[in-house]
Amino acid sequence: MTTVVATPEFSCTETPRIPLGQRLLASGCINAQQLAEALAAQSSLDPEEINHLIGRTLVSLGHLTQGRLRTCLAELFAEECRVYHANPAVRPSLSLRGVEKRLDGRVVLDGIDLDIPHGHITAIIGISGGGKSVTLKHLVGLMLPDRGTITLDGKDLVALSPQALQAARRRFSLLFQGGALFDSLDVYDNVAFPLRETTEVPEDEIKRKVMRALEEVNLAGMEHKFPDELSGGMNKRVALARALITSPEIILLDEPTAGLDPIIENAIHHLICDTFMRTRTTMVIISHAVPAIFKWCHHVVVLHQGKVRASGPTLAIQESTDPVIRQFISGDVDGPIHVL
Amino acid sequence: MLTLIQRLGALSLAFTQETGRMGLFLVRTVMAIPAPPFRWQNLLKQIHFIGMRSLFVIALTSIFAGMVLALQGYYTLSRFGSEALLGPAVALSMIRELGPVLSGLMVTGRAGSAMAAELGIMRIREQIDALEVMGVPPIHFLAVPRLLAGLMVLPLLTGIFDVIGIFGGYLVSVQLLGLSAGTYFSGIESSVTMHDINTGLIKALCFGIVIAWICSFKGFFARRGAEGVSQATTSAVVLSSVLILVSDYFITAIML
Repeated sequence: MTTVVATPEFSCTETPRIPLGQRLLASGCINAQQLAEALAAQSSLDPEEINHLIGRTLVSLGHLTQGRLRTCLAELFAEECRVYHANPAVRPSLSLRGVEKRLDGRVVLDGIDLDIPHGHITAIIGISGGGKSVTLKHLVGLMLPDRGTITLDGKDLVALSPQALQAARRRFSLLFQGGALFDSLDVYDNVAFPLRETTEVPEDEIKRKVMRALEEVNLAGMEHKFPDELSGGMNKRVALARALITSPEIILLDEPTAGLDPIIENAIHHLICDTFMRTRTTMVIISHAVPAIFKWCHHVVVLHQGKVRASGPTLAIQESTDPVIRQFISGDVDGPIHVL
Repeated sequence: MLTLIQRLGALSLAFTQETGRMGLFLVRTVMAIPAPPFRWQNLLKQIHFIGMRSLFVIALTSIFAGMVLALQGYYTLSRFGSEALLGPAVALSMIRELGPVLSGLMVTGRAGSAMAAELGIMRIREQIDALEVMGVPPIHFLAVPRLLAGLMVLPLLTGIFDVIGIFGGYLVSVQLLGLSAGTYFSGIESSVTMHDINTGLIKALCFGIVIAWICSFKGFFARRGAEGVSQATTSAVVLSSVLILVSDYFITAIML
């Protein structure tokens, strides 16, 4: 229970830590009075939930429009990216060292070394067949390398027993390219699935979490639809809700905007940004949406021919003079990458 | 010549590898049975899918199998003046052989193919990978309920097949060919032993395992899109059917 005194100076007693609210206030998107009113409206919730729902509450109170909230969050995120560019020293959540993988006799990963910065969004880009999806599957232990190590908070995933690996996987969520929703389950059951199968959470708590997750991805009221009754973008949003429901430490997204039109693509990017700003979860996105993805990540890894061609803050990669990266960003047919 | 030897070698290696993978899959599935949590709902769903939804085809097949057996048997036995043995001939054929084998083949065609296709689609749509990432062991979640359901349902379906088949034989023998009902049924009562029934049920148990194991395995490791799923489904049905007939011979040889 939070006691909030609503004054223009935003003085609170026993104020919970609401980072997102404070940042919206600091950026000038809202004033102290509006934040205090939003907090008062959510006073029955715990701090984590207040932080999750603060944007939605501000919109429902009429202090921000949905569009203005999105713009504010995107601006805050862009500011973060600039700060990260100036000082990219962040401890890694996940590290790959010397990872090699052959599939059907072909070298797919050829000694990959990369770090995934903790609490940031990393985009892995590169031409098709460059090893991006295989890298992602290694990160979550769906594939094991022929050689090399994959460390999660200092523990080598490759050396873990199957039971320990299964436990480690519960710290991740993976949004598959096609969504990977279960066709025989409706939206509600799909989102509730990981909680029912891997936790002892009671059903009424599951219901509350599922409804909140669906609200966060703007799919409230769709819980009884089946995946084949939804559009591609909606399926991706359901998959995102399912990925978020267990509050994972790391979310991996395999081409979350593949096959979507530019408007839905932008909406999904905004949703990812919104999710990140609320949860501060480490995210890894595989994307072909270049250059659009540069607006939505702190860190970029460029994979080419099974090797890390470049890795660094987004702004640094955008300014790279490497001809391979330049060709990939510009999308030119002519250049060092031969496709025709 | 070398190419031929190379091909034979490659085929032998592929066969050995596939057999080993199938064996490992069965071992992993059996070892996962006692591991918690026990998913009753999944099991009931599979029992309904394999058992209840196969009932109609089992009833239809069994009644006609019994009828044709009685018809053929009557004309053969009448040559030797042994029409009185028609009841035992139909019942023993049903209980010892046709019941388990035809039930197995029918369930393979109806439920086994669907099982392989469903798991194959789950594989190519990355739903099995999704289970792994969520920390839900796919073998425990998908293969165990199917194996247990196959194990429980096949003996029941075989029992139903036997009863309806004997009734089909009765329709032809008694109602059509004029054999007395007493002769038909008393012959069955005096000639069918518990050993015969056990033999049929043991066969049904084995066929239940074969169907669930092979069809789950083939679907579980389907590859390369829609074509891969169709190949997995076809090979699941063919291999299950062949294994049913092969194992039938060996079980019969052992239990005679």
